[in-house]
Amino acid sequence: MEKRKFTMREALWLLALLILAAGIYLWSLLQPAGSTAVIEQNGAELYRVTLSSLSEPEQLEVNGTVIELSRAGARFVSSPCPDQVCVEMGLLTRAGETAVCLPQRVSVRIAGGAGADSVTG
Amino acid sequence: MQGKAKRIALCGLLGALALALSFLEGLLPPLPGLPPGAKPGLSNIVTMFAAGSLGLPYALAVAILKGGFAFLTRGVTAGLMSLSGGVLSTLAMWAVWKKTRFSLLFTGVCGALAHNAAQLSVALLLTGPAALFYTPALLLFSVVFGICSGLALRLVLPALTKLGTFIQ
Repeated sequence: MEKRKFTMREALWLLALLILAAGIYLWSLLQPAGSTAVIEQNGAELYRVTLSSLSEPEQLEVNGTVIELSRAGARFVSSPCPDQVCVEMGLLTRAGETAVCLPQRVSVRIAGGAGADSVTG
Repeated sequence: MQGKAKRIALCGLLGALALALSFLEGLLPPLPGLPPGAKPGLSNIVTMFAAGSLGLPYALAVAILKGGFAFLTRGVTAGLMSLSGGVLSTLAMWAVWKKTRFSLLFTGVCGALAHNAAQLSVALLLTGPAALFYTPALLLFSVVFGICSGLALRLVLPALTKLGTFIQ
């Protein structure tokens, strides 16, 4: 396995990729707060809850996972899966933010921009 | 036939190294600023070297071994993720290294991108479009960690080349 020179052409390719990726990532961080929590299992929608309509936090159990919905957002409270990635995602608040528990095939997604709140009152 | 025995021995060594690196990676605390579950992909360094020095079949064997180990120790989902990511990134790195003149850095980035693309596809199949939310973060960290793993291999290559030329 020989060594190869790192060329200018390659550096430009990497820089372009890096800028593109960073741009998309920043754009995804700048989404407004969402209004609705969508809970799916195996890709099929189970619940769609308007968060502002909740007077106190509500817990749902989906395929072993426990999901808490409140006015502030949605989060996985617990899951029987080994990796706990879904729980570590923490509270989801922005539109588009998603936590997926792959082993249990459950996902929680926040949908709708801030505008939807004022329409539904 | 002696050459072949040496290749198989080196392949076994690299397989053990890939397992050790992915175990070490699991011990790291969650990196700040990274989405939970995102890992630097240290074992890509090993499959990249295997693809470059031993060739595609041996590199794939390392990736499959690592997938099988994840399957045994961390369950079906982790096994599927590791296997799909490992096999596709090995194919991508082998193709870039053997068919183009790009350096290890670019090869590493292509490997990391392929790794995440495969895992994202498996996640899409398992849950549905919700998994697409992770695309921007995965894209960014693939480029960053791909450069890191390419750089890491570039730095250790002088030592590893002795092994590589030893088997030629």
